[in-house]
Amino acid sequence: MAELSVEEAQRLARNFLTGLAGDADVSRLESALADDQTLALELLAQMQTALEDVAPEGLTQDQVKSVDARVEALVGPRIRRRGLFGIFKRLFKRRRKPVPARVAKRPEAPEPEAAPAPAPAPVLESPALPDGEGMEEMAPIAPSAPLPSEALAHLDGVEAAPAEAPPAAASGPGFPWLALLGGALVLGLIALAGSWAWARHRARPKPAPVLAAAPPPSHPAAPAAPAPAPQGPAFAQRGLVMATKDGIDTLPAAIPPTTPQAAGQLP
Amino acid sequence: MTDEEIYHGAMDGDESALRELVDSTREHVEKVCAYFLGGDESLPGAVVGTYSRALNTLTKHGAPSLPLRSWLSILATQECFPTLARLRADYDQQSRQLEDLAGKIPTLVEISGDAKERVNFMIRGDIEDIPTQHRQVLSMAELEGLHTLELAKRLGCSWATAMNRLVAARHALSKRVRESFGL
Repeated sequence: MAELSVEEAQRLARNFLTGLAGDADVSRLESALADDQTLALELLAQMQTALEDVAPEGLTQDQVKSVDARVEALVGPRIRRRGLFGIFKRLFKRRRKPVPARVAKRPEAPEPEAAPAPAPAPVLESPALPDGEGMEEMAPIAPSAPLPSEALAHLDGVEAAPAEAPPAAASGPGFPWLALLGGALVLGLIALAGSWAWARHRARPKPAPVLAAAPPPSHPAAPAAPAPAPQGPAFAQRGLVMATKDGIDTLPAAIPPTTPQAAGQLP
Repeated sequence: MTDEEIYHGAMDGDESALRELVDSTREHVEKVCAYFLGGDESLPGAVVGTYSRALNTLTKHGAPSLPLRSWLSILATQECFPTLARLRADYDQQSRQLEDLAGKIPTLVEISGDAKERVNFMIRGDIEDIPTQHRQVLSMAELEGLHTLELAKRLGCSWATAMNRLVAARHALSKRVRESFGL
């Protein structure tokens, strides 16, 4: 329907609000109002002018609560949740898909030493690339350039439903940070496991005092030498114990002197 | 957040944009709807319907070229209009019923051949017998000749409330006339 002229819109709005509009005018107003924004604004302007910009009483407290709940019910389903779980899910989705493609390419290569096949065409030049494959390669090419919505749509088009898929969740500016966060999490776990293993290792009984406290049966009269206090590095402690207990000549020939002090005691 | 950011964020399902769309305009939308429907039971539905229209329009047609508040004013007016049209239709139907009623009173038929004039005589004759709150409204509309917009201004109420009060007053008068004449 063609837009009404300003004068015609004013006349229709005025006649309706004052009760002078006939049935034909009301029908015309109804049909034009959906398309003609001027007519709606004219109706509002005349109403505001009549009430001198003083709005009448609005919603009651109970109605406010009801409206809040109903508006929330409208807005809530339209919010796209991007929680940590969803982000990791998307990351794993994107990393899992290229694997079969690489595995499938290997049998085609005649020799393992041969140079790998050239990478597929860049993402932005390949309209048929499905599921956002190669998005990791795309990021360094244009890290900050805004991607056209068509390109984003084609990148995400196959994998996600158009109504629900966040179009640029993995290729957006937050993606490297999230990857870093995941990496830091993994490194933290590794460090935790390492420190636990080190603590267990430190808690084990040391072998050297056991050797010093239990003399071999071939020297029953030998006075039990007091176990030296463990000082210095572990290899120095082991050398001192062996020199005290069995004599220098009992040192295995294969073991070279490891400290200058030990080297000085050698013949 | 600019209007453009709100539009595109809301289309993208961004929670902060959707919240901003509602929170920054909620009072304005309620005010626009209150000009037309304040005091009427359909007001909450109109406010909710405005946001429903806005979200559906963003989904189907994309971002509008208008500022957010102007755009929502238009949507709110469009949302209110069906209620106004229904009230208008109820008023017209009641006018016809009053004309029929006045046409059944022999004295009025003798006085005037015009249906509207007979109704006017009928109101003048029985206006003192209806409750006070109806008498004031009926006097302004039928005796002083104020139209609905002026009535709303005089009463300091919305268009729908003015129309509702006028319809209720005429209904009270009609009931009084029927009882008086045994019709």
